[in-house]
Amino acid sequence: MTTRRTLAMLYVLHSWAGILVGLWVFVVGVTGALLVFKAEIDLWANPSLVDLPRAASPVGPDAVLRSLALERPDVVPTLLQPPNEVNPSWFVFSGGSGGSERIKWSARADTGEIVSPVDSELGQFIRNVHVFLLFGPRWPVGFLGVVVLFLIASGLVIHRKISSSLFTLHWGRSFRVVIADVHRVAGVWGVGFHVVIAFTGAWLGLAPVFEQTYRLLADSGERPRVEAPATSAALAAVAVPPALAPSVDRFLARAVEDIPGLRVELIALTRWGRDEPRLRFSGRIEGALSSALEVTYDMRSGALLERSAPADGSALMALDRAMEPLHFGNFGSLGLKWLYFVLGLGQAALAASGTLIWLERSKLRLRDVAAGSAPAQGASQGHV
Amino acid sequence: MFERCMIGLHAAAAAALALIAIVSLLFGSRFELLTLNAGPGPWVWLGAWLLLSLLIAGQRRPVAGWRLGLGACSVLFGVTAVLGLLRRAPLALPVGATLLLLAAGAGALALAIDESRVLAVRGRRRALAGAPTRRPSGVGRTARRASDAGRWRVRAATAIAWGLCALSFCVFFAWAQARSGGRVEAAGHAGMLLVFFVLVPGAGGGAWFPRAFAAIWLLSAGSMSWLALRVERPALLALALAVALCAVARLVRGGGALPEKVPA
Repeated sequence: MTTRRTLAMLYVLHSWAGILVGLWVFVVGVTGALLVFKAEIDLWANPSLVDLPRAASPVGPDAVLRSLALERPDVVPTLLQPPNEVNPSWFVFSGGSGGSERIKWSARADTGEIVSPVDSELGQFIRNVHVFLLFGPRWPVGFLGVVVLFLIASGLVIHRKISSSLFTLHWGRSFRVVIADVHRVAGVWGVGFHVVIAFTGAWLGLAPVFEQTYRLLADSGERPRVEAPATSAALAAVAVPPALAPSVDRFLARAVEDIPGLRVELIALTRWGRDEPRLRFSGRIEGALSSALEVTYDMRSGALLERSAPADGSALMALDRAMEPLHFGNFGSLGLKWLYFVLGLGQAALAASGTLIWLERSKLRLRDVAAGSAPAQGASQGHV
Repeated sequence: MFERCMIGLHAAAAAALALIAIVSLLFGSRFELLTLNAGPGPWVWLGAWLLLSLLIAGQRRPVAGWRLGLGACSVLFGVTAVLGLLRRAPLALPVGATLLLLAAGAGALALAIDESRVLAVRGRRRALAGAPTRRPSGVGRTARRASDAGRWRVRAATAIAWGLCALSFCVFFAWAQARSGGRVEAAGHAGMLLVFFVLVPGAGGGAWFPRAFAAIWLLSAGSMSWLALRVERPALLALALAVALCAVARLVRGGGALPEKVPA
């Protein structure tokens, strides 16, 4: 049985933690709900792509790369994105690191012809707000996930009357009562979703932090440095003639053999046009709750350098691969996406209503203090 | 003012996103919105968010602020939907329909916020607050002063504890951001975890469990010292010492008296 002292403590901590991160949770909730449809938003924001045809059997990456080399020989491709159920065309990315300008090109799926640079990545912009707060690293949002987990746990303990609040919404009462009801209803109905989102968000955000900490404790603080990307001049110096370049198409077919059922979503071209070029195919298996399946090849020797398949690695790695689909809701049907969208907006409503309750309580407290009376119960601490 | 600002920031966030979508649709490649490129997109969004927030916070009554914010959302969602259709954007119909649905929802919510209901409840409260209240008698001025001094001491101790948490986190954050790929960066990450999972919970529960707080903070001070020596940054030892002193002070003084009221 929870003592009154513990409940009082949890009220104070819940309300103060809530007011500190409430606005952030709200923004993350709204952007997270939109992110369920990230690919659709990215496509929608580019009217220039409306006429690109969908091909029954799209051309392979070689045709796209050939077309890019003809169109813009000075450009170093870094990433390829094959057509999928939302995007009818290929996308090629170039630059983006080492200070070079990042350009995203679209290419016809039926011929591989480069059509035009893509104007906007609105969906990706929303993702940057959600994950990085536009400018920061990823871990702040991981810490936020932990705070949200605490808010959920403390909210459940202090609320107590969970079943009765499932259907309690006093529309005819005061603003404060309605907001409090919205807070409880949104919290209780979506509790499973909120826990999953907060936990997976904390995991995704804090995994690199724990990894670095482990590295320190295991006494291997040094990390291999990332090589500078190829510049156009360097490319010109050591570029492999396209005719002699190994076929990316062949490696793509091999990747699907090495990870049966893999649906390739991204092809990363590392050190493209230089010595020891590498190809990394990443994607997922249709219907499986697993992301970040990857296979990396050395293009020169054809050697398989790294593979991350469902059968590979420990249970922890399998859990790690399930985190992203669970967080972004992209492992199921359209219905699941809509469910994530609505529940994501519910999370934003939860944050906003919590902040409003705090504000109302603190106003009552100030008014009571001004009137010289004892503060109302709970209002003394800005209880939610 | 804090309330109005918070309402403004909440109500304007989604509206600013809609505004970015409108600008992106209107200007296309002339408005840089590609990841990793230092385009104006983030600044336009932040600027629009803050300006709209200020506009909403300028409303004297909170309900009016909410109505303005939700109204702005409704209008901007509607404009975004129509613009997508006019520009013949891919998926213009389903995205437009969703945006119009959201616009209708925001508009309905703006209309549903009933100002008279809020004001009526506040009026009742004001009447109650205006009634003569019985002040506690027999409490001497000296006792009140002593109680005030005690309260200020508790507040100062709390402020110092949280200040130390914030300062430690900033230091470790700066280390982690160094991107040196070496031990300092790893120590920064470890330090952030230490602050977040050990120091902050210790500070949060310190008023209720002073001994546990002291033990946790002493443990943190030890860990911080270890990190400082590990990466050869002796300056951090000063912070670790401050954390240890804070813990000892709490142990000597005991916990602050907190009310045990639980709202009904």
